[in-house]
This record gives sequence, structure tokens and C-alpha cells, in this order.
Amino acid sequence: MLNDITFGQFFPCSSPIHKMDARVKLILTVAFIALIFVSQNFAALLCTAVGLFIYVMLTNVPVRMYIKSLKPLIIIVGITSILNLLYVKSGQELFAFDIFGWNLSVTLGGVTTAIYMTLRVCLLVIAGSVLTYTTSATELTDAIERVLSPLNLIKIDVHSFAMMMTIALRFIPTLIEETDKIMSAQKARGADLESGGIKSRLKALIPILIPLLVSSFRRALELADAMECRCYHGGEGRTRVKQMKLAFRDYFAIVCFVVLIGAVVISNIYLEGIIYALITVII
Amino acid sequence: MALLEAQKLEYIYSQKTPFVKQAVKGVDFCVEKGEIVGIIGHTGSGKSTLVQMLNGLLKPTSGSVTLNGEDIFANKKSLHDARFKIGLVFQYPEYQLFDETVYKDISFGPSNMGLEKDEIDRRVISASKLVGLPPHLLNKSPFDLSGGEKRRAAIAGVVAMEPEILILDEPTAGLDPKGRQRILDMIVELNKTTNTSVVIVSHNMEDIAKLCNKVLVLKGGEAVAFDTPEKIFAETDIVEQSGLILPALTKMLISLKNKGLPVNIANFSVNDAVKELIRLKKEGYKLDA
Ligand SMILES: Nc1ncnc2c1ncn2[C@@H]1O[C@H](COP(=O)(O)OP(=O)(O)O)[C@@H](O)[C@H]1O
Ligand SMILES: [Mg+2]
Repeated sequence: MLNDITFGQFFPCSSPIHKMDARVKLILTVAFIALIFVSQNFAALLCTAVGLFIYVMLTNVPVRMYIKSLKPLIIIVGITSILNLLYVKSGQELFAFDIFGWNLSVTLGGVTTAIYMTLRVCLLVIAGSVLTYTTSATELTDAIERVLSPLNLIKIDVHSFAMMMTIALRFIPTLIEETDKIMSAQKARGADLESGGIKSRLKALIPILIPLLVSSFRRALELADAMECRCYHGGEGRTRVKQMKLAFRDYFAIVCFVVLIGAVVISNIYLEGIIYALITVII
Repeated sequence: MALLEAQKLEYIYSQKTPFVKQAVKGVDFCVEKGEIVGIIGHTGSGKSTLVQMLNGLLKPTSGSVTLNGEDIFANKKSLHDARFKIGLVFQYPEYQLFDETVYKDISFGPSNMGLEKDEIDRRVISASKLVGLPPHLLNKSPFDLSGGEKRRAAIAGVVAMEPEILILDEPTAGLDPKGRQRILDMIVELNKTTNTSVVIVSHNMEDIAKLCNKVLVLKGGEAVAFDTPEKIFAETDIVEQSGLILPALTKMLISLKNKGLPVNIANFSVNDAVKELIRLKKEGYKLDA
């Protein structure tokens, strides 16, 4: 039941994207998200979508996994789309109707805003999913630590934060597994987790949360001991087994991304209004 | 008709992902009233998965589990009843203790069954007596007990539900020899006094041999044998191919038998084995290697 958490889960398989340097992937993903928001018209968004599509196809992760990561968004995107459709008033009025005495109308501006918004959110989530599906948690935190390492200059202990994050990420599956086990064990003793009102449901959580808390503390203490036994004392002077080095594919990805930026900029400047015009003509 | 019967059970974890794993493959097996049945197998052979299907916690990918001839997965009610009639003690059950006092924790199961207060009280007292928890511990916090005591308190929590079948998943794992013996003695006593059927999962052949009427050997999710311990131990190959180690005593008796002596290998305690050897000696066989 708890196995359905997909967003933020590493999907191990072999692909050029899996092999890419995690720092490059991280920076490109952040830059890509920025690019989604500076894409001003359909042509520009189409460019980013095509770019992302090629990127997704290269990951060898089944498309169904990406669709799964979009599922939790359906409700939010649906509601905001409806609100956008009804409340954004600009451009040509497409049609109007009355419900319960309310005068509602949908305009071209509302339609485009809703579509923009939906597209942007989907692109954003998929871009994030590519990063987490193709990068293991350790690689990712390692990359974050390196990318943020300039912050050391202003006395922020990046290493400690990265270590905390690594540990937290590392223990998510363990905690899920543990929760599953404790839930099963209490169910075997007749605990009813699925019925009753809010109050009885909250009460039913106690037999699960308490053992979980107790074992998390035990685990944390054991881990701290184990780390100290191996002479861990923070990031100072620590060296790495795995050195990150940029390879040809990383430079190639950067070049591709720059080309994509170019395409978006050109679309933004020169293709403004073309698709608008097309739509208006069709209508 | 057997009390509990499993037919062609299969279980596949994480279907449709790259982590897909078939943990149980076509296992048939049954438990009669009053029997003690052992399940042995190497780590990862699917023992825990199998027992979770037996009391309805995991729904088999295919196959059926019947209790008194009724499918436990037939509907919500039968599944609910099965949980109480088939008590399951998980591996390392001490991690599921949660309540303020040991008494309250043991009464969690019985009170979920909707019993009267007096009945709950009676069950908690008798279960804690059976597992050997002294009464003064009942008012302590479960987190203040020793490891062995925690284990016994957790087992009492399931025993107090007075199931028709008690399933224990590696109940002696991680305990010292004395703690182990106590748990095993408790299982025998429960079986004798209440005629409760017991299924005990273990990878310790010695425990299984002494206790069980029948043994199911699992290997890679498949049942490779289901028979009396004597017959299974006589087939040394089956046991060793399943990655298990025969008890030293049984090994010795088997090697004597291979030398042509008329020895009965079904003597699983040291006392019995010594008696058997003395008998052979009296009959005039030479025992030195
Ligand atoms: N929750 C789970 N998700 C995926 N695979 C699992 C899960 N639990 C067990 N497995 C796998 O199923 C197989 C059988 O496990 P298990 O039933 O726990 O064996 P045993 O109790 O005999 O050690 C193992 O290979 C294990 O890795
Ligand atoms: Mg197990």
C-alpha cells in the first residue's frame, strides 16, 4: 500500500542519462525549469516540450512511470484550470452561459492561460522526475553538496546539510518498510485502520506511530555510534572515493541545452502571436 | 478436512516494476488440529511471505487458503475472522510493543476482538503466565523490559487472542539459548494444554526436529518437501541442497546408519540418542568409528 510513492524514487537501469554527471543533471534541471517559465508563447513551450521529450526518451525509464508521477497533480491542475477558464477575462469571448443566475463566460485569454499553466506544471514535474528517476539519492546529495559548496564562503556548513539529507533519503525506504511491517503486525492483532470516524482513525495510528518513533530513535543512535566508530567528524578534510568528472556526454548535454535556450529565445521574440493568429483564423 | 489448508499459493512482490520478485511459488500445505508444523528454509526462501498469506495479511497472487474448508479471502468478514482465528507472531515482534504498560499491550488484541473486560483480564493473565512473564512486570512500560521479556510480552499479545492456530515467524531469532528454550517450552505447553495447532518458522533444524509433527522445507519459494521430520532428515540431499545444516546429532546417527547399523535416526534429543546407542551396544554392535 505504501509502495505507490513514486515521485523521488530512483529507477535503476542503464541509459546515457543515468550515466551523466549528477551535477550537470542538477544544474540543467534547475535551468530547464527556469526556461519553462520564460517560455512566453506556444512555440517556445513547444520547443521546451520537444527538448524534454527527447531527454525522457533517452532515460530508458518506462513512460508509464512518468505518467504515474503526474497522477497526483490531476486534481490541482484540474481545479486551477477551471478557475483560469472562468476568471481570466481577456481576448475574444468564446462562449457564455448561465448557471444558478451566474453569468459566466470563457474567453480566449482564459483558455490559453489554462493550457499554459497545465503544460508548465506537467513539464516541471516530468523534468523533476527525470532527475530523481535517473540519479540515486547519494549521487544527488553529493551533487547538491558540490554545486552549493561556494556557500561555504559565507559560513554555511553545506557538508552537514548534505549529510543530513543523504541520511534522511537513505532511511525513507527503511522507514516505509518498517511502517509496513508494524502495520501488518498490528493488523494481525486485529487493529482496524480503515474504518471509523476521524477520532477513531487517529487513535488507531498510535499503535503504529509509537513503535515507529521508538525504532527511529534507536536507529539514529546506532547510526551515530557507527559513524563515530569510523572516525566521522564532519566534512573537514574528507576525501572521496568517487571523483566526479565531466565526460563527453555531459558537454554534449550542455551544448544541446544551449541550443534549446536559443530556440526558446527565438520563439519568444519572433514567433509571438503566430499561433494566436492561427487560432483566431481557425475560429 | 484439514484445519488450515493452502493450495498452490503464489506471491509476487512489486509486480510490473524492475524490482519484481516471486517470493512463493506454488506451495501446497496443510495443518491439522493439534499439530505442530515446522516451516524451514534458508533466509529469503519465502517463509515470512508464506505465513503472512496464511492469516490473510497478504493476498496471494494466486492460490487459496482455507480455514475449516472456507476460503479466508472470500469476503471482508471471513478475512476479519481469520485474523483472530489464525494468530501470527511476526519476526522480532518486540518492535510492535507500543502501549503504556505490558498489561495494556497484551490486551490490545483481545480488546480489538470486542471481548468483555473480565474475559480480557482472564486472557491477559493466562497468556502472560503461559509465556512466563511474572505478574509484577505487567504494570511496567514494555520499553523497560529486557530483550527476552519483550519478546515474550509480544508473543503473549497474540496468545491472548486464543487463536485456533498460532503461527510464529522465527520466534527464537536473536535470543540467548535460555531464552530460546523458554519459548520452545512455551510452544509445547500451549499445544499440549489447549490443543492449539502451531506453525513455527525457523531455520534451526534442531528446534524443528524436536518439536514438529510435520515439516515443510522451502527453497527459493518452492516447497521441496512436506513430511515428518524423520523422513525429511533421512533425505540428507534435500536438506543440504536447501542450504540448511542438519543437527550434529542427526548427522552422527545418519553416518552410523550408513555403516549398516540398524539405527533409528529419529532421535532428536541427546537423551534419546544416548538411549538408542546403548540399545545398539547391548545388541552387540560395535560403535567406534
Ligand atoms: N516487501 C517486499 N518487497 C519486495 N520483495 C520482498 C519483500 N519482502 C520480501 N521480499 C523478497 O521476497 C523473498 C522472500 O522473502 P521472505 O519471505 O522474507 O523470506 P524469509 O522469511 O524466508 O527470509 C526475498 O527474496 C525477499 O527479498
Ligand atoms: Mg523471514
